[in-house]
Amino acid sequence: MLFVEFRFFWFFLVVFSVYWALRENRSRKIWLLCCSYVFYAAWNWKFLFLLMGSSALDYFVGTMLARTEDPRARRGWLMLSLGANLGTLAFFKYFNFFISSAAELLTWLGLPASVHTLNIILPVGISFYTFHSMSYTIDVYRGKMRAVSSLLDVAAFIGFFPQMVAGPIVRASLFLPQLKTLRKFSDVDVRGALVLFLTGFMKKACIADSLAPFVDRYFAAPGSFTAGSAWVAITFYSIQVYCDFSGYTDMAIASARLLGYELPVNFNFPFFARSMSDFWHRWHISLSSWLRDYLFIPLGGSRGPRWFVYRNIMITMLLGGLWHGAAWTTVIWGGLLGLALVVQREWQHWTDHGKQAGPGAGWLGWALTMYWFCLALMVFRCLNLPDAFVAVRSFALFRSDGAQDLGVWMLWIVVALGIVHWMNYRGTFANWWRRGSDPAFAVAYGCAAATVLLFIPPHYTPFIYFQF
Amino acid sequence: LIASTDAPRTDFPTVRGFLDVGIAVLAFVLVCAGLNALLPFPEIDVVSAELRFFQEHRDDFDTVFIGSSRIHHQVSPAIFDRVMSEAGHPTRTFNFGINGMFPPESGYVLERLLSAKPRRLKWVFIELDELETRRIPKAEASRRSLYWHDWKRTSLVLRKVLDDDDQRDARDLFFFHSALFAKNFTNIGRKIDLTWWSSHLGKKAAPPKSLGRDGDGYVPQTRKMWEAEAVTYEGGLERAVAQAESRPVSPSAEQAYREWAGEVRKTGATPIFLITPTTPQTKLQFRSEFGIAGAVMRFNDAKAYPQLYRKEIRVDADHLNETGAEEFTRLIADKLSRLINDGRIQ
Repeated sequence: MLFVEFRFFWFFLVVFSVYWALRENRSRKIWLLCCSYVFYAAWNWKFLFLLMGSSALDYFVGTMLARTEDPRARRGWLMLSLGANLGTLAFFKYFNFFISSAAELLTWLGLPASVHTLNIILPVGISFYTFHSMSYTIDVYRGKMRAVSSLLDVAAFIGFFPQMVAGPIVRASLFLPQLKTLRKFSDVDVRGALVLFLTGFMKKACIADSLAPFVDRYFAAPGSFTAGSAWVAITFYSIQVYCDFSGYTDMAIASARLLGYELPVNFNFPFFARSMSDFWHRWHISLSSWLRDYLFIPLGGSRGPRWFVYRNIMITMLLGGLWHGAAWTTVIWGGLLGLALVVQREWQHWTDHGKQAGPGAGWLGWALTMYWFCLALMVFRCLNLPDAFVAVRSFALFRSDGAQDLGVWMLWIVVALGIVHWMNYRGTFANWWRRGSDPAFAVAYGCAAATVLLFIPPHYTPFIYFQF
Repeated sequence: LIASTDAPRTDFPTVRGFLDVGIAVLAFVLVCAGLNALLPFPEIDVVSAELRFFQEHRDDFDTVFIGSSRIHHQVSPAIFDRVMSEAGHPTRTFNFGINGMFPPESGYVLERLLSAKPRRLKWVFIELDELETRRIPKAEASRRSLYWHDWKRTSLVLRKVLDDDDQRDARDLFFFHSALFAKNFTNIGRKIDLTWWSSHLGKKAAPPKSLGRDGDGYVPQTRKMWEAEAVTYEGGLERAVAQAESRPVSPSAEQAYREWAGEVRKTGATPIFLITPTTPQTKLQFRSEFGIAGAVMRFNDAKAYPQLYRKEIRVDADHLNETGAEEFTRLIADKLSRLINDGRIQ
């Protein structure tokens, strides 16, 4: 069930109506949990048991962590949680990748090996809910939060349908306290949530899905297109990924908000970032902060000699790349972005954190950040390494043997979208929906929704981040 | 929409909330309906191009055949006109058969065709078949499956789905067609039409290839069946002949055909329902208690028309090749001229 489908509208209508009609917090949480499981089962009910198992295990580990002060025992319980969560993720997401990569390596070394890969279905949202789940046990282990005594709360947190399948990656310490208190409808910013939902819907269904056919066409055979087409394709893909994922996030945040819960912001105008580290403070914020707090800092973070910090950055980014998909292209993508962070740190070291940089450094930083992001994304989107090589050569060196043209004139679409995005960044559209009476807002919203539907393609395209 | 006070039991602003939701829904529905009425006819591959062609030449034709590939590949307007002319009833015919166009889509297209107000229209042949309710996976996401789902057509399909006793996936089909109706009503994907319409403003579109070499809508099929195909076909035909039965069309199909016949009569033309020589030998008929919707020409009778069931002139169980199509067209023209001569049809 996708947020942009009609059936989600009916589903949410039932969830919303019954939720606010219930008066007890416990009943509401039970209702939410049931609805979340129905939402997940709409994709594949068999994998529901995996989600339930993950919730039960982490609840149990949390309880055991609360019962003991012995550091070894606590470490053991944490390892159990991490092992089970990461083991499940590794099996479902990376088993075939590692097996086939090992076989290829052996073949390359002259030791051909016959291996059998398994026909494994990737459970939707597994990368997200395992991270939700692990954040709970790690935070309890670190003493950042107390173990929760209610299995219902833990299960409702991990399975909460708006954020379950594609984030934002919500920390237990942020969400679990919200489950403790009865939400009040009068605290809900209904107008804000409705406008956010429609904005997310528009980003996903109108922009991302409309750009998808052009992007798919190019990346199906990058070698047959001109160098100009490579620029068009990657610009479109950047916008597509952003609108697809931030659109999903907007709809997730809005759905949660309509039920009285706050989810963290996941995007903050990443295309206006002036450096790669600035970019990661704006793009998929919940993942980058998760990786920072639960991987980069435990590795040693920014403490110690420079080479040690750079090692930590590269490990974090390579694993971050692998999180996005079981393929070498995603690992290289992570590596390229990690390299950019290392170069930026080195540059900051030599220029005393940019204090010695000239007045145009901000613009140059923006251009370089966007260029490098696009170049890395080119590798990320390609179906295999040979295609990635061809596409990057075409994009970076303007060298392509292809003759097909995607139409450079289409970059005007980007200019138009860029202007709207910039106006939004400057706050031009901020809070306009708060003006006027409720009936006037209702009329405007109805008209806007009807008009938006005109611009969406007739068939649904799955969210890109569902495959992660 | 935002409650201003904290009520002691529930703070959900029931009355005001529902009122505002009602206003939003009303605005939504009105805008959708308004856009639906204002937007140009959807640009559907082949269908729109042929409708445009017919609109431009609406007064050139007095006979139209409408239906699926069984019309498109099997009725030759040139031969039909020649035979009719020889019989003393000259005609000018257009073949509006389109691959995969079954009722109720064909009825929707017929209404669009008649809305062009062709002044000379005399005979309208409508392929007679049951209403198509199945999901066709390949076409599910296409605009072709969407555009004809107006309320009139959707209600017919839903009624058929609910009426059928042997419809195992009735619930699935009910939601499927309802969703298509909702998508169509809310104008999903119609920006394509706006783009097409603005980019073709003032330009004359080239005639579609589906009009065939003579520009009359007929595209013959030239291939013959392989030996193995022929064996399967003959076995299938034998079984179909043995199981031949008479069956009235479903009540929803009956209603649909009656309405379309009425629309045709309003233009001054005569509707004739045509059953093509398919392998199934079901004798579809209208219920007499409802009165006759129109004359029916039935050719799916291997005993009465053995010449149309020879394996040499067939492409498959449902279609004739060029030779077969010519034979079939002559038979239709002969039958029509006989009916006219006998005064059984006017």
